[in-house]
Amino acid sequence: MGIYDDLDNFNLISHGDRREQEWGSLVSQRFPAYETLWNRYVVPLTNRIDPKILLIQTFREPLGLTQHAKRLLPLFVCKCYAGAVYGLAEFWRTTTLRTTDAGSVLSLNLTVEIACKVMYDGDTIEWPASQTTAIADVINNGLESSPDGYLTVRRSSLERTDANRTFETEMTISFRAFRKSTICAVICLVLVGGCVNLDDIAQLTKLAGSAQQTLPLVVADIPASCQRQNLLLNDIPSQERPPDLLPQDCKAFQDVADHLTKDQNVLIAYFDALGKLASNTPLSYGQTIDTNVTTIGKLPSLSKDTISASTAAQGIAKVLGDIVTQGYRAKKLNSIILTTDDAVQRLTVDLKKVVAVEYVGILSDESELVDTYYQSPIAARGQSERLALIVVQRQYHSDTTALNARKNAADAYGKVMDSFASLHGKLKVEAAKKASLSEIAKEIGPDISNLKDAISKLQTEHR
Amino acid sequence: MSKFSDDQLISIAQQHHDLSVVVAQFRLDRIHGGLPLNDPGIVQLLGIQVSLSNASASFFAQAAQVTLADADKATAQITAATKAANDAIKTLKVINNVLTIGSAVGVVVASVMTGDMNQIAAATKGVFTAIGGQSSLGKSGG
Repeated sequence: MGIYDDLDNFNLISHGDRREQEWGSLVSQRFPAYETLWNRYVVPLTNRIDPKILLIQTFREPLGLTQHAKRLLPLFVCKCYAGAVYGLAEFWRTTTLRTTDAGSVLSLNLTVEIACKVMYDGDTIEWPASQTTAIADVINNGLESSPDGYLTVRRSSLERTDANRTFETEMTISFRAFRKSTICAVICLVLVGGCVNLDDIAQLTKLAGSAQQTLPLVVADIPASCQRQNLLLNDIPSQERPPDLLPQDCKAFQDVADHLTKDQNVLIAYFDALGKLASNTPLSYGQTIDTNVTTIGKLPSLSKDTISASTAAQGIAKVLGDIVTQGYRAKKLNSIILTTDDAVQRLTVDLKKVVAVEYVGILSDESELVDTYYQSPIAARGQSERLALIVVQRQYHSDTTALNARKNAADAYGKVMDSFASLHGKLKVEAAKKASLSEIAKEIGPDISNLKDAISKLQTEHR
Repeated sequence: MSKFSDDQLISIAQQHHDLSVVVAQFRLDRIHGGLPLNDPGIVQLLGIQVSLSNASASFFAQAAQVTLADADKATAQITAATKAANDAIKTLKVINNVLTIGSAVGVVVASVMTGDMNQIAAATKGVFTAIGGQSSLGKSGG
């Protein structure tokens, strides 16, 4: 029998698992030879045949204060439920203990898993390759065995599973303890190298704010033009105009302005949301974690190992947070930009047309009336009215200049719409390429600059 | 809503404007020729000119309404996209709070190991503060 010779040494109390022990105590009352049956057949069939190994036990349990590793490993369990979104990040500890029949420990392997899952309705989160590499660097390259025994990376794995509606990544790190200086340095490197300069995209929000301030000034002038024309007509002496000449009804012009305001607000709100989604603006966890790391470092009577482990856990949480939020943002941005580009192109063309063509047409009518208002009395003036003529001509020049400024502002408005359309077109190209946020920021930099110039020009024209 | 397209309405508006300009020039020439501003012919010409100009402006406004009606479908799509972006921002805020609370819990764990009740109390207060931030987020809907 060879390796099966020592089967009699196996007994339920020492070698049976919990279920076997429970069954054994019940069954042996009616079947006293149950333990013999068990060690003859169950033990070899369940591969418990190495006589040197008395026990292999594996426990996988969430890390908590009650576990014996609590002095090394801080608890980090957080869960959230928000509508269809479910997020989970937690630490698990797996202990594998192998002992000989003499009771000496063959090996003790302590594994800590950092599991992070984010699930949300209808879609999956992409895990950016760059971030996966960054985490792998932390695990594989950054942490070395050290003679003082502070840190040992035994095994690491990164698995990626894209299942329907669920994205799951699990990292496994085995260690005895963290060495603070090493892991902090590595995490800092990851954060610096992995952070994306999103300033350019974030500028979308600022530009949307500028547009929100500037564009309404142009739109408000549509009914104002109608009112100015009515005032000019009203100023013409009654004997010089037909008695049945009625002022224009400005309601239609006001309706256009209201509709236009509503539509341009939709466009501005869209770019504002896009800018916020692309940037780190709404997120503060990074600063909070930094503050907490400082707090932990200042806690009195805390061992070096505990501070190291706690600090490292906070750092890993920050890296995980960056990965999850950046992946989520990139995924959402790409999806939104791709599906909305046609609508954005359509709306910007239409808004430009209303202002740069139709409103400018209304201004042309006003311009013609201004000319008539001033030129007719100037042409009919008497020689004795020289001083009055000078005053009138100055007023005429002033009104004409103001009207030209409005036409220039309308032209600038058109350029702002062109810039929005061009910018979004560029975003669509980058989204189709599934470019990273940093690549997108680099590509759209010139378009952001153009949009900024166009809005500045519009502000200048409207002063 | 007009049965004409916006381009057709713009063309009609432009023709009215051009006619108005012609009438205005004709009237101005007559004034330069010595007719007074209250001459019945000059007054009538002003009426024609202003009517043409008003009609032109009205057609431009109608064209604008047609253009904006055309944009309504695009506007609806963009509004939906904005909502999706804002929903995503809300989700990010929730993730932010999850990480904030988790981090605060980490401080509590470390403080428990010090055995110092003051430190534990301070760290626990930090967790409540973090949770309070999440609660207020929920109340504000955002």
